[in-house]
Amino acid sequence: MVRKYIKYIFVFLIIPALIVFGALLYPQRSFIIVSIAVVITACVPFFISFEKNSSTRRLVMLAVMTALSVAGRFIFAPIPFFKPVTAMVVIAGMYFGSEFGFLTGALSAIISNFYFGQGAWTPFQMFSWGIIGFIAGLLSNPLIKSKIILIIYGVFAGIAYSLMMDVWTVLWMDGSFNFPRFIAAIVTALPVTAQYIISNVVFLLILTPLFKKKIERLKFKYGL
Amino acid sequence: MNTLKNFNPVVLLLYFVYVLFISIFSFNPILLASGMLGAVLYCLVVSDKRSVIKSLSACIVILLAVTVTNPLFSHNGKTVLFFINDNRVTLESLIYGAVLGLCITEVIIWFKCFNLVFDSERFIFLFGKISPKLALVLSMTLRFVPSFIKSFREINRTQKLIGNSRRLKRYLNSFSAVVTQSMENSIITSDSMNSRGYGAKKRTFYSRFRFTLSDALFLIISTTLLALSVIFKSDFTYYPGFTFSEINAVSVTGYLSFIVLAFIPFIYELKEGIRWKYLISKI
Repeated sequence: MVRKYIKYIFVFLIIPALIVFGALLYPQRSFIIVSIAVVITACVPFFISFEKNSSTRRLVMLAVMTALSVAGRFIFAPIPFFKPVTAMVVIAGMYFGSEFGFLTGALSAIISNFYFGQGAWTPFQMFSWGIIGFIAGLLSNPLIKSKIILIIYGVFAGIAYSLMMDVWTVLWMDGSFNFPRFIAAIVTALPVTAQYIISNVVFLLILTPLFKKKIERLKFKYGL
Repeated sequence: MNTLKNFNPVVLLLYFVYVLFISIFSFNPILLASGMLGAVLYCLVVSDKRSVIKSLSACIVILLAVTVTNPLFSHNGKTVLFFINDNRVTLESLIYGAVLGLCITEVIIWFKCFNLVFDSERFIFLFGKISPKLALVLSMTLRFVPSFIKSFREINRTQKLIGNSRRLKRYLNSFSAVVTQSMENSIITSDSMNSRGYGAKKRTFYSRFRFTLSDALFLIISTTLLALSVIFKSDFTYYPGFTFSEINAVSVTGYLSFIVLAFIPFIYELKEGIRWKYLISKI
């Protein structure tokens, strides 16, 4: 009985309580409490709806796509700056829908942090990759049809991921939004952002036709 | 030896949330320093010394970098030390930077402890509480990752032997083969799961973790200590001037309860170690 309602208790009671409690007790650091709570709350509805309605095929496919994106990080590790995770999350969103994209992104963050170490950044990474996959799912038609939009989205995803992580760095450091520090964080992160953008675009251009072919074949063969 | 692992993961997670909650939000140098000490001692007992020294030296670099750069971003504070390009460098912003650096490095070390205790099995257990299906996805993924890497290596090696010498192209070809193989297999796996009745009833989740008396004890002790240190908290403000609440019996209670909270893993590990030695000596 408790187990049945535990998720609702979590979303509607514990997290809002944490926000109010934290903001009242520690006004200096209230922003960071709110941001952590928001990021975690954002993930829970996706988890709940996945639990409620998902076929076995989607379940196994989610595991495969997540594993491919994490394994890709190891496979392409000898080639510098090539990280296919974001591209894989975008592809998952494009072909399997926005919810699937969000979950692929969020789970990729958890799984890859098993190898690289969990940290305070894990929820933010989950949220950032999740949102990138979610938006890719919403834009799936134009993304599949036009290569230019795909490139633009790859650039956008690289910048968005980098910016979201910078916002969180700044909130973390000041407890409030300090604009000069935000600019400094963006500037120091520029080379990394550039790497993200290039590897996103390259991987999206290479992997999208590849996945398109395979997914169409699967649809034809098994009637997905 | 890592005996802290024997506790129920929910209790352990709550413990780490408590400690991190206070560390991140109180922003109090005394609490931060004692939390840091507790975490470092625990790491020294549980993991190897070299990795602890390595992360500690990284922490010192971060601490110094944050302290030195903080005055660039914040010019608040009333004690002006000197000017750089008409920008005030204040004592308060230097102190704030040092505390901030301490906060960041303390959280890094606590997450090191967290990673020592929380392996994937415990993570899956926690997910299984909220969503059994997601827990299944997580454990399947954890199996898939090494198996995909292995099959990639095999395909890649074969491609190399048959004379595919351009590295990037070979990598992509082999990756593509892994994708085909794994997606096809996923359909077969899921059909096989379906035909064995997966999803016919509501999913349950088996785990070997139980909630024992010592878990209850640990939970009660840590929650009480958290409550005490929150109720009797002392405030530190940095801007415009550096002030803190006076030290009296009340604030000392608050400090002591957090210090005990932060030292629980170390003390517990030490106690179990002594008990182990004692039991061995009796054989």
